Amino acid sequence: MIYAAVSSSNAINSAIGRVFSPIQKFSNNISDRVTETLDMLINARDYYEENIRLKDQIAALLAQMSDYTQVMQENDHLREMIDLASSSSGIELSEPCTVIGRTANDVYGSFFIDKGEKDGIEYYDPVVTANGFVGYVTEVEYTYSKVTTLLSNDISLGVYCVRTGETGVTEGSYELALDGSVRMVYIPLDCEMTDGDIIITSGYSGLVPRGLVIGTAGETFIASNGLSRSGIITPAIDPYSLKTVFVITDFDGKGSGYEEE
Amino acid sequence: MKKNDPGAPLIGPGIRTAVKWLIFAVLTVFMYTSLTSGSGKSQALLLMPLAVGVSFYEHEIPSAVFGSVCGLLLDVALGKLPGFTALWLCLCCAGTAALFGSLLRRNIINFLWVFCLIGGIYLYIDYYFYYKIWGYEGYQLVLRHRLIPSALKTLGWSLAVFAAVYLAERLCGMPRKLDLEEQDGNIERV
Repeated sequence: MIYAAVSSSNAINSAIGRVFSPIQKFSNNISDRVTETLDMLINARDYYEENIRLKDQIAALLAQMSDYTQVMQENDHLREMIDLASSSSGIELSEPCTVIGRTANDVYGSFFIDKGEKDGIEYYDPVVTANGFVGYVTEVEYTYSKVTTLLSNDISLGVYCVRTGETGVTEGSYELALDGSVRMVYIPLDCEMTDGDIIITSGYSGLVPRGLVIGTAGETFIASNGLSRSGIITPAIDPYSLKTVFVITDFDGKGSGYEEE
Repeated sequence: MKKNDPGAPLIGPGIRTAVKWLIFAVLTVFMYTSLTSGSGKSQALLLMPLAVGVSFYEHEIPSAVFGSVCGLLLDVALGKLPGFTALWLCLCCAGTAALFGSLLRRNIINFLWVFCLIGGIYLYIDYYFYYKIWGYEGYQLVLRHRLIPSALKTLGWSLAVFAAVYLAERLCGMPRKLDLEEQDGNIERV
């Protein structure tokens, strides 16, 4: 009997609970909404002030974040400058130059930098990154300059292989530029240069310091004249992906090419 | 008391013209910056359809001036001799304005074929004088890998540029008036 009574009471409770639980839930929701609304109305002033305070805090944190990013970038640039300066003796670098635009549809990937005459940039100053030689400044305006890259057929540089010491001259063409490479010509017939050898500037011209990395050598082949060999160089720099570069404003032996010796 | 004309626009013609040219100037700056930013490989020359689109609705002199400005900006962005594109667009825009002012109807088909003609001749002139005439190694590849893709992109985008010019003209241009010849008292009727 007791069991029957208890079990029937449970059944009643369960039935009541089932009926009322949605209503309870609904009323609870309404209660919560009303409490929230009243809270908003009563404490609106506090929330408003807190909102302003938090906004200020966010602005301060964003400013700090921006400063931090700038400092980080500056640090990276300075490290890059130190690397560059140690790679070749007596070179003077400009401040980091940002690439601000590109010459549209140019096969050679020439671009504009945000430093010009007012920053001490001159015609034919070499442009580099920590990875190697990029090109020359070919137009100088007061606030910006144009850089023509190594891929251009207007640029020829005296270079040599670090491992074997064999010399040659770089030469660009439309076809090679579309593949992102340049040719090395006038290599001696008996050269020992192989795939992957590092090619650097010789500095004989007086236009560019010695020791800047140009890229890596590919296979060589006998040139059409039969007197020398030619090879393909894959430059260390992709001009289309550059964001920041440095201009070498001065270096030991600048302007004193082999013609003057 | 003089009654207001119900068909008269709310804003005066001077302000409408100023706003219209302001929109064209903003479009010009936007298109120039879009040309010099990005990868730089096969960019659409949006300033060209803009110049032709504006000359579609304007008179000869403003069209020629606007065409020259767009051409000069194109020369700077493309690294060409200043005046090369400017002179071409100056002549073409003045011609387009004269053509659409008196001979052709203003519709998208006419715009497209005129633009294709102007762009096509420019493409050939550019290719001939900057690449073919010098005969450097692999110059034909430039046509295939840079100039033709760029021209096709420009043609594709020209419809959007034309739509922008059309909207600016509809919103800010002077309302079109159709005068009936019969209303002209100077015409002698037999």
